[in-house]
Amino acid sequence: MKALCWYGKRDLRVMEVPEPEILGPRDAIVQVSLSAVCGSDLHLYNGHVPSMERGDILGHEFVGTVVDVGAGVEGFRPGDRVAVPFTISCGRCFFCEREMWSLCDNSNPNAYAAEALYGYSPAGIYGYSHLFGGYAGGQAEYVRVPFADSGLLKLPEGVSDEKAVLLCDVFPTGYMAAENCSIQEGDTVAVWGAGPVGLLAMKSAFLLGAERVIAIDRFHERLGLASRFADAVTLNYEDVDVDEALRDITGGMGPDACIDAVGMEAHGKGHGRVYDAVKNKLRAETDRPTALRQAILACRKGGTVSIAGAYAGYIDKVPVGAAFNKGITIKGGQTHVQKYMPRLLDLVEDGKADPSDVITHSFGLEEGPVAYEVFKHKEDGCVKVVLRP
Amino acid sequence: MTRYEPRYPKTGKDVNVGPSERLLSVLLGGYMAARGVRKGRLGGLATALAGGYLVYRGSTGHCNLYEKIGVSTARRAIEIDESVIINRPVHELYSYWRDLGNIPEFMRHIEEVRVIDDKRSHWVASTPGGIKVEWDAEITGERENEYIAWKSLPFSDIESEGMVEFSTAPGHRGTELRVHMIYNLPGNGAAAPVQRLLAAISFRQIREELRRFKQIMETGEVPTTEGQARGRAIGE
Ligand SMILES: NC(=O)c1ccc[n+]([C@@H]2O[C@H](COP(=O)([O-])OP(=O)(O)OC[C@H]3O[C@@H](n4cnc5c(N)ncnc54)[C@H](O)[C@@H]3O)[C@@H](O)[C@H]2O)c1
Ligand SMILES: [Zn+2]
Ligand SMILES: [Zn+2]
Repeated sequence: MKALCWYGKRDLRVMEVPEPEILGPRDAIVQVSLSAVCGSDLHLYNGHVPSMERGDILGHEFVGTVVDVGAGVEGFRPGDRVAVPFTISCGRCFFCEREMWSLCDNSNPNAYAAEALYGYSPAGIYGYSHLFGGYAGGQAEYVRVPFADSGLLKLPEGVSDEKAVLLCDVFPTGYMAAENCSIQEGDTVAVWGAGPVGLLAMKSAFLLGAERVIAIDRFHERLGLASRFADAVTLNYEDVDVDEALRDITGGMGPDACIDAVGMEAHGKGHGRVYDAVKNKLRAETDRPTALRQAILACRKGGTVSIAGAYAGYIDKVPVGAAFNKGITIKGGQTHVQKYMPRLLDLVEDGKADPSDVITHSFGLEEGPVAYEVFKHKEDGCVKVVLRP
Repeated sequence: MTRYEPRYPKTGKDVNVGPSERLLSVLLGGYMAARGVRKGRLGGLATALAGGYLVYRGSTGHCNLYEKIGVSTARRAIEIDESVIINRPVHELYSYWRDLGNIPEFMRHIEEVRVIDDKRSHWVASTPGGIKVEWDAEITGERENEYIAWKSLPFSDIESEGMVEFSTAPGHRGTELRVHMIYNLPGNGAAAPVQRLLAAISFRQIREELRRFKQIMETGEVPTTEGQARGRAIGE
């Protein structure tokens, strides 16, 4: 079969590889009908996540049809159309039972390595480095799905692949980011990053009762989408002083909640940019937290900073004094996808939200390397890319 | 006013129990003693006595049994204490473990455990060089749903001793499991494969073995990516 494989920083290749086989009793094999490229994939592409190996198959957002199941899989059989959550979760450990699916205790075969870096290991993730299990991803014709009986989402006929593929990661991620803000009546939520995650966090903030949502980015097309798709007030940080603008819009109080939907590769300006670039080169810092720093400083007293953007290692010059003395709550994490999939599917089916509005580009799987380049540079108004095998 | 009591008072006896094992002895002994006394029956009393002895052994650092058989874990080869919480009831874990034939399912360095009778079993470990090390072991103490202790029989290639303890974890978290294992060179010196086996056993390995035990008990399998498809560059 064909699969999109990682061969190094900015080096992806479409390879002919053997088809996946059932390895465990709770495995299923899914024939992929549509996959998507995530901002997280760009972190791998740009070489920011450690423990990638040459030949790793990428992709953690994919939908398709079950073609084979292991002896222990109940509730699914060949022919079922499914959306696969990006977090691999056993469904039976302390964390899964409490709906903390991305923290599953049992799904990372390389847990010892993650423990060395993080203290305790998060769940395995498809195509997201060996630190997260080294599982082959779904930017391929077929994919092996472990623990298939726990958390796969069966798709009703009326829901298209395009809508469904956003339920594997991005919509749940935006939704959880908004939910982590504990939104109250009258709240203003500011969102850094108007990529797919940011856009769906904006949409979700309204669904959860926000009064006003503010989008911060520098790409006109994305800010335009934030205004059209999510009804957000937009700020282009290349044109305005974000901190001042937020203060002004919120009557001098600051946003009640700030969402970082940018993550470890934030674009920076001024001193901070130079500082992070030097530290990154010296390996004294691994991630670049421009958006996170701004979010903490801008947040109102007693507010919440919700981190949806991904971080992998260490960051520097984070204003902990501001966070502490303003009594700010910080929340974040990989998304507990299985928790949100069913309710978001309901919203999609009821026509209350159509996440596929963020898809701007579609490529064949063989054009994967081009698709990554286009998405990386946000060329041609690119917001979200899907790949069809 | 309270006076500082040294935790391990000096005695005339030689210290032949290693520091972490001493701590474990004290903790486990105290636990067993309290539990045994509370139960009050004969079996309970035996537990209390055994517990009392463990406290003695831990606090003095001297083990009469070790003295008799010439073992000193103060200069032990390998000694490991690990604990893990498993989201299953005590009785399930206990009965899986007590069926010693299951042990190779999660202890990868053990190739086979053949049960000889109710107490005795034959263990085969594979060494990194591929040569096998074998020994007979017997269950030296057990209490259903509480603990299992085992030890290699005298004159084995290797001296191995272990104890696993089960207790209900708080807050509906299942079972807390504590494992204590010692591998020792036999008094008469060790053959090369035995030394190799010992060199290969580490803390991390035992932790991985317990993780596998947890995975099997909680999920029914050990998650793996071995054998999955991946790309290979031409010529790789
Ligand atoms: N928590 C999770 O489980 C989870 C799931 C999916 C994605 N993510 C992460 O979410 C983040 C966003 O993903 P995406 O798919 O939307 O990616 P994306 O690359 O399409 O979007 C990122 C956006 O952030 C903007 N940006 C960069 N620097 C900025 C700055 N300093 N201030 C404001 N905006 C800035 C970029 O212009 C871009 O529009 C990534 O870090 C990704 O890894 C996390
Ligand atoms: Zn993602
Ligand atoms: Zn789990």
